[in-house]
Amino acid sequence: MSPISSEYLREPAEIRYGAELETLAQRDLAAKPPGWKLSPKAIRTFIVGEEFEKRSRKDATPTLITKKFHGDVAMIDRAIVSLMSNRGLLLVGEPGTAKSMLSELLAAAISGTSALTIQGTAGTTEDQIKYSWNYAMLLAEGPTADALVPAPLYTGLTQGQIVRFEEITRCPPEIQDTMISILSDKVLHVPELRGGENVLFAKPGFNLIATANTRDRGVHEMSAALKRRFNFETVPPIADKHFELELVLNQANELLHQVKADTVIEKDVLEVLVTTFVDLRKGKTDEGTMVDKPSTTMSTAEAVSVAFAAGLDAFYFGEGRLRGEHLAKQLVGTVLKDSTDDAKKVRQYFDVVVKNRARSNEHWKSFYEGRGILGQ
Amino acid sequence: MSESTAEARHDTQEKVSAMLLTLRTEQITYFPIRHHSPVCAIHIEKWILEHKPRVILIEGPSSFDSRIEQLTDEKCLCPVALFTNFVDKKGRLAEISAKFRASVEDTSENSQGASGEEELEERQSEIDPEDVTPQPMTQMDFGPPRFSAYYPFCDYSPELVALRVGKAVGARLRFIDLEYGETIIHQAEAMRQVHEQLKAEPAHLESLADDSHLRHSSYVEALARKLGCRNFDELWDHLFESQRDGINTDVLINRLATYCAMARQDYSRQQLLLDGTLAREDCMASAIVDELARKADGGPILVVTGGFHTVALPALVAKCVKRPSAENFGEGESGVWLMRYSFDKLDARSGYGAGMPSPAYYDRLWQSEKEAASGLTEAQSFEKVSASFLVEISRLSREKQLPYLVSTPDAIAAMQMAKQLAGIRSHPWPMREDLLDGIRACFIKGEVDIEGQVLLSLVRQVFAGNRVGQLPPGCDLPPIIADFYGEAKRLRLECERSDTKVLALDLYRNERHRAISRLFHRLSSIMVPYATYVDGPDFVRGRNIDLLIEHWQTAWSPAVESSLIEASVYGTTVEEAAAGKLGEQISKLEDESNGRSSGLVVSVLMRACRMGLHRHARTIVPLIDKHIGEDPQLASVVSALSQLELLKRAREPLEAAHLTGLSYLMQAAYHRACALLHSVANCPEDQITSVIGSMKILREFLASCHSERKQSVSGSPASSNSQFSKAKTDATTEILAEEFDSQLLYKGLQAIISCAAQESHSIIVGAAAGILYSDGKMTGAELVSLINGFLTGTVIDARKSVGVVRGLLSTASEVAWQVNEIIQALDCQMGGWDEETFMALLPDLRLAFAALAPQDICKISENVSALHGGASFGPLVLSDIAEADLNLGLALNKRVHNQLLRDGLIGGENES
Repeated sequence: MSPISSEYLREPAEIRYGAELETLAQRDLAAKPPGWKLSPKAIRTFIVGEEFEKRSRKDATPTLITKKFHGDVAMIDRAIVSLMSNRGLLLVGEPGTAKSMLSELLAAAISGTSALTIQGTAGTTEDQIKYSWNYAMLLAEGPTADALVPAPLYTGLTQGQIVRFEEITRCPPEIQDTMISILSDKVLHVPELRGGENVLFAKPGFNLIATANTRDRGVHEMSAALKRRFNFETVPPIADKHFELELVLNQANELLHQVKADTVIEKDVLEVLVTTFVDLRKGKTDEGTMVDKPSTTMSTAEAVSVAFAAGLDAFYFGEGRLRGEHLAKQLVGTVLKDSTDDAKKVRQYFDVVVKNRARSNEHWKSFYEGRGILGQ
Repeated sequence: MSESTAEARHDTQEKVSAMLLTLRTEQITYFPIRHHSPVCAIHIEKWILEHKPRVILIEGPSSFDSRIEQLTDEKCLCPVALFTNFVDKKGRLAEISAKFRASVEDTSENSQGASGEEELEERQSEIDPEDVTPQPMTQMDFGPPRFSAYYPFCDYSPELVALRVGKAVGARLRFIDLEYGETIIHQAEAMRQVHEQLKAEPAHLESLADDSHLRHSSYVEALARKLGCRNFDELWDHLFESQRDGINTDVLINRLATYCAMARQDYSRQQLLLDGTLAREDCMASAIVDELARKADGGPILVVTGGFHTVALPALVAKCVKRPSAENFGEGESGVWLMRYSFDKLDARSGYGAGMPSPAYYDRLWQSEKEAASGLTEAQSFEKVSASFLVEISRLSREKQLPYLVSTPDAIAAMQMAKQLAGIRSHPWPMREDLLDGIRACFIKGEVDIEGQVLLSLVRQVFAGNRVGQLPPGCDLPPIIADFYGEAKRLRLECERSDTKVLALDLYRNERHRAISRLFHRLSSIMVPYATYVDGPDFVRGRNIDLLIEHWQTAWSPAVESSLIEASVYGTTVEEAAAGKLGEQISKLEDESNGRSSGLVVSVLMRACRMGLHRHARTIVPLIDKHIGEDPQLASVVSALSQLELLKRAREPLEAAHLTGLSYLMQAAYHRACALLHSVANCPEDQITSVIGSMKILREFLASCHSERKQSVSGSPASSNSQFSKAKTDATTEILAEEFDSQLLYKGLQAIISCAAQESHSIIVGAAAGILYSDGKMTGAELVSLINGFLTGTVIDARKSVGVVRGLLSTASEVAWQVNEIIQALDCQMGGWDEETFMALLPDLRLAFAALAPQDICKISENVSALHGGASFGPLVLSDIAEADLNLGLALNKRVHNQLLRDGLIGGENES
């Protein structure tokens, strides 16, 4: 991973992968849906990388299209096709499964911008979704097009671009339902304006990518009417344990490097953590022992944060070498959020699975011994 | 490195292209197929009509020739299957395994692992050469080992198309493979040989077994990954089925052969030897050599075999290999029958290894092509088929009232998506996976694994279909009837007269009776009305386990035969059919997503053992494991645990002590139960009794394991010489206490105790404390402080105070007179209650002490009276009542008595 050399703390996908998008646009000869910057196939290549597409030998462009999403290619196909259709795309799944990243990549590749984003919260209002007013002008001139301040949805409709709606189910149902007419008729009414201006028709290329967490607290129901206007795609957690281990290792190292804490992380040690996460996520160990799934999500992102915190612990309070006990200590804070049931489940996991593995493996032993309050 | 791989690749390329040249000559064409692939069928049909071959040679045992006439009969409607069996009456396999055992014992004298015979049998059950699914049917029962296999055909099976079209053009038709029984024998022999070779290095044995499980070729996997396909079926559709018309037959043959040659590279010679492939190919090649030598006039020879074999055949033919030595099968050792088959069994998902998935879907595609609807292009008519499936699913979702009712706009959206996906994936029309993707995206509102589960299982059913084939008139009866009469004769059962007879079966001492009981249980499981269960030890429900004799009523009727024929869908012998039915029950349980009850699955295992289907019972083990892991109810996990223990200990009637995985399952159930203990403290009211019962069972279970370990460690005298008592000791030594970590139980109980009083039922807390105290995991002082906490604490609800005592006494009654402080505290508490509270709590208090023995009660009352200065409680019987009161009471008693008598609630004079 290359160090970020940019003035932004975090670059949006269209800037971060600007060169790749340009390369793809140059090579892209296939038909593009109206309003799209790239053809569906090129978008797929952009997301799953070039390992999968056959790349012609003559092509001398130095930009390689990297793999940005690890998972079911068919799911990506379906997502792209959904966005071509007259339905919106709703990405569902557990927290930390890279739904937002996928939505950002899709928006960047289709519309060239991923910035038209509405963040769903309990306090999201219709103003923040559709449009609001410049009140000084409103008072001075009355409702005119100039006094209107467009929100992401308005912009997306006028420009024919993809609008992202993050965590849509965090909004109260009545706010969610404002999307119904827009998704079915592709029309936004601005009743305050007069003449032809009070109806805004969507330009080709407009569509909506929403994301929603399923196993999370503080989410609302979605009405059946709105559900019908979306195609649902489930984004699963990473299935390949080795790949996940690699990912956690790289990201933890990168994070530690950024804060100049160069903890030595051995793969074998980190494997203890990733295995624990995979076991608790799947509810079954490699040996076939059934374990209880905690209600909190055991996502890869959480694993990275545990590894990062444990790395810091090892660097500042330990000998600069990550050990199982550091991981166990940090795991407690990640897993035991607010559910007492989870504590029982994880305790049970330590008692049955970890204890058993600790007999033959020193890292697991250290992990077991560092279990702290989980041992009580 | 890269140079050498490039070289190797070049080498392979050359080899493959050389092989391709040998596939087609003027005289002969080798046509590679995938079984049940429509595209292969179409091209074979085209080729035959064009070239008019003089003879068509087809992969399949040569005895199948006798059934070609029936198979190609117009009245034979697919799906049907050729069924062949092998009954090793001459003991050939026993001979081989005896040799094998001898050689294994040579090498590993001190290892007491699986005996050679077991291992050999094991192998046989796993070998699955493409289209054969052998099942050794008898292990525990007497009788020779039996194997059987189905070769199913549907309208689009290339072999059947070759037969039908070949018949039309007047070609001679012939099957050329080894007999099924010969294959089995070759496999066993190969197993022995390979092990003999490896004798010097027994370490190899294991890796060998591992390899046999490697069913998927890594080439195929890599190719699928590269092309973005999720699995082999999608890859196949992508590469071949989508090319129906796009390519000519020669190109198809070349592509398919290349593909198979590459896939074959992943198999070692040894693997091919072990699964009998090499012997079978030698046999097929020698038949081709014979045909080539015949020098007859007419068209060329067409060889239709699975592509995997096709690529090896030309080289073998060139070498003029000899047929492997033929076996002489005696009377009743081997046979071939044509049978009805069903689409759902043909579906690859239901375990048929060589199948394509979704037979109904492919059949509909095939039919639509044959019908050649007017004015539609091929792609259009295929799209129409896809649309009809979408509409069907949408209709069924409404009819079955699924959680989400699929609407017509959904179906339109799904069709649109399938077409667009086909576009992206360069398919000429939506392939099966494109269509399924459309369904996944548009029909499921929520997560695939949660909201989508019900719908997707419906989709699987609709795509698989459930059509059952029809046999042409004049086919002989399915072998299941012969099997039934054979069994009945062997067990000396009445099958001539239709009057009712009662049989008393001694399950423990009479082996024949046991076999009869198993047969009857099997028959009733497949709904054959021959024997009706009257009574006996019912292990499944846990009733009357101490009975020794089982009673059945038997009566023969014509319905016996017809229901046997119906049951023959499940298998061709009674045993097999019962096993098939059992498999159906198991998969039903697998599909059930909620309401998991481990007790229920364990009872299926029990039932399997009662039917003597131990071999098949194995498949239930992982399922039980899963159910245990997901069962939320302590009571049902514990009942599963005790049922498993019963299985482990049961003797002759179940013979389950050696069932693989039993100990593991018990362990899993134990772990699960201990884990569930952590959350039972505040279970719903109505479960309190069962929770306490479960806690007691767990303790007893643990105690019995520990005492057994002590026994087995001290060396229990093997006094009895019955072989079953030996089996029993073996089995029980396996249940070592170490496997059941008592700490887990105590931890669980401690978790209950440490629950806050508001969140727990005091009666459960009391019961947990009782167990801990009497097992010495809690001191008297700790117990007193816990109980006192409830009795004297600030908890307003007095019921809680009494509950804890009730729970405590239910698991540790000795506490009442051993630990004086508790009675003191209770006494003190009682003093503080007003009359109303006391009356309200009286029932609970009585229940608390009801479980105690009279002498315990006496001891307690002495203690309590000591607390009050030894004062007497006064007489228990009151005698100072007035005469009027007595008379009134007597009169009342009489009236009540008469009333009860009139209502028939009491009978006769004896009652008072």
